[in-house]
Amino acid sequence: MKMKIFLILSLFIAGGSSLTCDPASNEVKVTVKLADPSEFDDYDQYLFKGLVAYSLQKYCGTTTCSPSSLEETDTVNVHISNKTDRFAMCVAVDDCSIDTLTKAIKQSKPQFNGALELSDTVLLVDGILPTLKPQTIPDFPTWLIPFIVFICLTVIAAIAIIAYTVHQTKKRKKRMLSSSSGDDDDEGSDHIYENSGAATQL
Amino acid sequence: MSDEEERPQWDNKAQFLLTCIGFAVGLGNVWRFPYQLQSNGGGAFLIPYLIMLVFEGIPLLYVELTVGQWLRKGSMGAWIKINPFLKGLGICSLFVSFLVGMYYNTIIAWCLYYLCNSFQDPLPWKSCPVVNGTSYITECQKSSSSEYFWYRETLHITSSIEVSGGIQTHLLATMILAWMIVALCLIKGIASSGKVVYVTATFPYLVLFCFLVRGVTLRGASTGLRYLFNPKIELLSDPQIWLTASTQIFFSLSLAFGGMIAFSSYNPKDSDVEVDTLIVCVTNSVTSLLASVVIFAVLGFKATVDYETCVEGNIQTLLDFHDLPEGNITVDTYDTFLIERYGSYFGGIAERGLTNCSVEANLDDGVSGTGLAFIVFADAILEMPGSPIWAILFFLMLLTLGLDSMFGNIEGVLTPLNDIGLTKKYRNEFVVVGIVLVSFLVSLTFIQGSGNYWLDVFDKYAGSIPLLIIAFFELIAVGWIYRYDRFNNELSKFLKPRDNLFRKALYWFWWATVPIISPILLLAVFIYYIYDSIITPLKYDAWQESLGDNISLSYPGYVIAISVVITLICTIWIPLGAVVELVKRVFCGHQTGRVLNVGEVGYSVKETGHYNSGYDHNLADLPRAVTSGNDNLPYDPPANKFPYIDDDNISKKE
Repeated sequence: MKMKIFLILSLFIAGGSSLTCDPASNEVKVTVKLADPSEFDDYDQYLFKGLVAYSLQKYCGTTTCSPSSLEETDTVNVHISNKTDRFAMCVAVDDCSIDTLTKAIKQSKPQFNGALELSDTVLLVDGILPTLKPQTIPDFPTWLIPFIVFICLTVIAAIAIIAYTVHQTKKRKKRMLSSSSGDDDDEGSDHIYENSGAATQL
Repeated sequence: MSDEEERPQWDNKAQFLLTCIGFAVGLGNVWRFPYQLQSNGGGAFLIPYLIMLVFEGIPLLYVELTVGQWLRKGSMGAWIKINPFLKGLGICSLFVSFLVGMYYNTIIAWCLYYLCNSFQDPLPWKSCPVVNGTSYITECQKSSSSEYFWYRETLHITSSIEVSGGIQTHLLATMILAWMIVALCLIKGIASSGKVVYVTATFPYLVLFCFLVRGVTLRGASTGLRYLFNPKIELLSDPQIWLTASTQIFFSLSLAFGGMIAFSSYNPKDSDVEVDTLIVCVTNSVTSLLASVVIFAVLGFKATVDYETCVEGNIQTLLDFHDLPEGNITVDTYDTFLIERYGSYFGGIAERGLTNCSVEANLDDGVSGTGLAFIVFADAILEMPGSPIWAILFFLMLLTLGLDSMFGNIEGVLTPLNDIGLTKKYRNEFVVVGIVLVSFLVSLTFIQGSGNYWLDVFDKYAGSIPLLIIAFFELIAVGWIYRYDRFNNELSKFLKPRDNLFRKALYWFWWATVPIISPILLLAVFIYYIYDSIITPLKYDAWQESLGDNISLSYPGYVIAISVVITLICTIWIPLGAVVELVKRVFCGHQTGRVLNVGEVGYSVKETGHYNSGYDHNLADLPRAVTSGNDNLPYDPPANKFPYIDDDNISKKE
């Protein structure tokens, strides 16, 4: 008997499903990924309610919302239910559609993150994709800077080699002009062929 | 001007060795060998690899180095001296070096581009570009940020080889820089490149050592290394593995380019060529092994990181489903959790629709070539702390590895041209600049949108089969056409005396391998290669922007025609040269480098004052009367050049 109950219970646990919020009652699922669910206590939930009210007021202040009464949303209008250990909850606002609520929260997401000291990866609201950080496109392509450095170094090396060669030829010319016999003068170069002496023996 | 007649020399032995090692040790040691090692039986692959090194690699390199050192000529001059029917062999080497040099420098240009992009944090291939603030570019999302950066931002690759895509300006810039660097390093021939190799040949080892220390201390490195070296002895019965080993060792040593012949032609005659061969071969193989350890330590790390990301994704799904707080399941407790809740690991995966994460599967996705360096390894570097520094080191290493291999390629063109006298009228510097300019113009093919596809075509058809053919003929030339006993006799005049066991053993080793074992092995590799080329369909992987992946396309007709032309350019000269020589002898009655018999008095005695010692040499120092025009002699005009044979007899005579 006990075993049967145990089995049924374990099946229930294994077969349990995650939290789903009722769209008919305009509920939006909010997940807060915390290691310790008790961190998001009643006070934080009250702050969250306040933030939702703030966001709705702000959103409906700038753009028109369908029931215009939303402009005056206050914390009493925000309802939190179905809290789970995850931590996840369902949030609903009186007379507010899911669409309006999602848009309002999306507009004020930075404030949500900041006030609750969370981030886009921790505070997840169903229906809102995390805004991605746009790439900062610099005015001057960053890779060109080291490239220009390398080009300059190469050009300097080329000039140095040319200058050295010109200097060497000048020196050799001077030496050849100054020496009277005009014998084979190879000491300037390092191309001394080691056996060249033998050729003259033949 | 006697300066140009005198052959340049290396400043010291180290320069020669470092140049040869730098030429042999190239990008293939880093991105081809580790993959071959892992996919062909792991630690067990070392057995066929080492056997092939001993019986194929070392003898071939020995032949090239001795021929160059003895005859003091590049590939063209040397083979003509061995036998005038072989004049085509040198021309083939020249063309192969020229063609390979063109596309090889493109890889250096890519390395330069990545290097210039590594001077920023975060690295540009870390994240995908964002579009509309909410989503990434589809191509990047479907593949990965590193693949996107490689295929789209670097190569700007087109969807097939037929679509050109235009010349990519950023690659044009790095290509110009790459050719400028090559030209500068070679501007004074080996006098300049010999100094540069002090850096380019040693720097890769410094970087490999740094990566080794960093790599083995990363988590997951031991998984990668175990995976790499796990010996699958049973695979050794597969002949494919042996052929793969011989192919690998052959291409690894940069043989048949003529570069090794050119380098050793600047050696003093009494340089210990046997020990040089052993040093270069052993260093090359040790470098390959070292690089494998580094690569697989880092790949093991990357596979572990990917595994952990995969598992963490699964954990999120599980946590969401079971409504458990964060941290309830960790990467370590993941397996036990699944077993507890679902009865088995795979049961849990099936029921919750999770992805099956596995480190081995990640490592199985073996990549080699440019994909390994520019995608996989670049991706792995992102996970290391201090990634820009590691990226800079890595791409600098690839740059130096490629640069000194380029020296060998260009020298393989320069030295023969100088030796046959084609470029005697011009200053050496202008010749170098000329070659670089021509190569640059043709290599513009490889920096258009479809450049990568063209590079693969050139690599397959210039950089493989022709090399095998040339190497085979080199061995046959020395072992059978010139006859190995004569060759040995010549060498014994200037090689170290065979008075100890080591030398005696080497003597018999060369006797066994050069004329007999190595040509047979090479023939087997060649036949296998031809067979493999025939059965593999003429297809290539083309990257599709819309899919974020490769699809297999067939080469169009004109590309196949071009590949045939490329292979022909690199091989047709061997039979052509023999035919030309035959025609000359039959119809014109004179010979280049005519053989003189004992006692025969020809112009040679009057001009040079010596006679041949009775060996059937091809006396290259024939008088000018035999051929017209001095400047195109394939051999040295006798008056200025010290004759290469019979030094001892001359000194005895006078």
